Amino acid sequence: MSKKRRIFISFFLFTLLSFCVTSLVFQIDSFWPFSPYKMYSHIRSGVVIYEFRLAYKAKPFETPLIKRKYFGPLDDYMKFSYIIYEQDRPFSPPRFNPKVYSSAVETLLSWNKNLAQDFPKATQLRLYRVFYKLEKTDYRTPDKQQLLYEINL
Amino acid sequence: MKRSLSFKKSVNHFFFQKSHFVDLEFSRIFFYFLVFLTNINSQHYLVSEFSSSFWTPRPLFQFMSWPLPTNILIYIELAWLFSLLLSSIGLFTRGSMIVSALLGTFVFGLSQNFGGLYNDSMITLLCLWVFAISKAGQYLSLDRYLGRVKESIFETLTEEYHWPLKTAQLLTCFSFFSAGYSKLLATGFTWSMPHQFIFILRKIDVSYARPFWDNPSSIFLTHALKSNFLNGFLGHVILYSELLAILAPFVRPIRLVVIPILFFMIVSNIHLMGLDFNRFIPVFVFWVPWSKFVFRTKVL
Repeated sequence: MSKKRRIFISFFLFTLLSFCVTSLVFQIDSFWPFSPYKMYSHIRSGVVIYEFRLAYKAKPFETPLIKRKYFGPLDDYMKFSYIIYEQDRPFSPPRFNPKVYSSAVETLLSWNKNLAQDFPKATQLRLYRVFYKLEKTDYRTPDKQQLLYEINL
Repeated sequence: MKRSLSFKKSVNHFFFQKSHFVDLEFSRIFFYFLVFLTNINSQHYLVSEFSSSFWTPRPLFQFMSWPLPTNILIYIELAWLFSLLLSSIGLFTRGSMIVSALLGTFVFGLSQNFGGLYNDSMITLLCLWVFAISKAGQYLSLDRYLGRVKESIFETLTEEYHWPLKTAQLLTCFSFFSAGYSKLLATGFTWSMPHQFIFILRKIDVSYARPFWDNPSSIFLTHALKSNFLNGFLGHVILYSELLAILAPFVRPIRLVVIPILFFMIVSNIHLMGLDFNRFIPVFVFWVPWSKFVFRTKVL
């Protein structure tokens, strides 16, 4: 191995490893691709989930929005703006975030656009912050629930 | 002064020993092939359906505008998968390894620009870059059989066959250690307490609307984990294995115990708990002692 190549590889290794160590020490999540994958580190007995439900004019009930491609990014905004930073105080008052709001409108429009013609169009998208207690036997029943946004078309 | 010299010597010894080509070449073949297999159904191009209102580019993607046509994304993903296959069989190896690292950065990175972060691609991507810079593919490759590699550059023993493997091993261990360290920071040693696995299954159930009773192996796991002892034992084994992983590249006894445990953990996460941990499978090829196997069986 030539001296030049050895210096180049040493520099590459030093850069790679120092980025990885920095992201670990300062727990920087957004330092992609050097940020570590936490492998379910944050699971506790209580968990906060953001749920999206569609509401219709003609129907009194709500339908949960479960297709990941529609709510994935929106869900991620929620996760990273609230769950990570406000994990210990999940029921603090919601902050208005224009980006999240416009994303939700896009989601609703996209949902309606992909529906079959005879299927009723949704007129509202409601976003709830729901707290589940995982140690309860009926853990699927929310412990607390808070309406964050109601987006109307 | 003496200490700094010995540190330099240890670092040099760790990364720049002379090694035989067998370990690196077999690792290359299986690593690229497994990355290809684990990503063949990933459909990364589906991000094209995300609206531009979600677009929040990371620094590497600042130059791009959104949306991009689905066709272009499909072609890029296919080109990436093709370059992975070429790197595995060793055709146009140097070029295809560089292309697979570049396109891999784009393919894995694209989904990071919509508000969320998916750090599970970290090890695979960094290892793709390590191989792109390495000189793997000189011996066991179609290039060599087709006469594309100059015979004059062949060296059976060189540092070039050592540092990529050691770096990949270090990155793997670092990734597992980070997971253990994050668990300690987030929940302390309570992460390894009984019921943790039940909580994980229930969390998946409530957050992804993916009930674990759809998966027969998860039902088995749920019953098995009713035992507090087993639950706590597994929690401790995983937490301590992750924490000790950082020593595995340096200490052989730890390596012999911890790496198989971590491999078993990843396979169980995929098959018993239904978690999407497929991207961790390829990096375990760096730990297989290929040369021992090859020399014992006299394959080459």
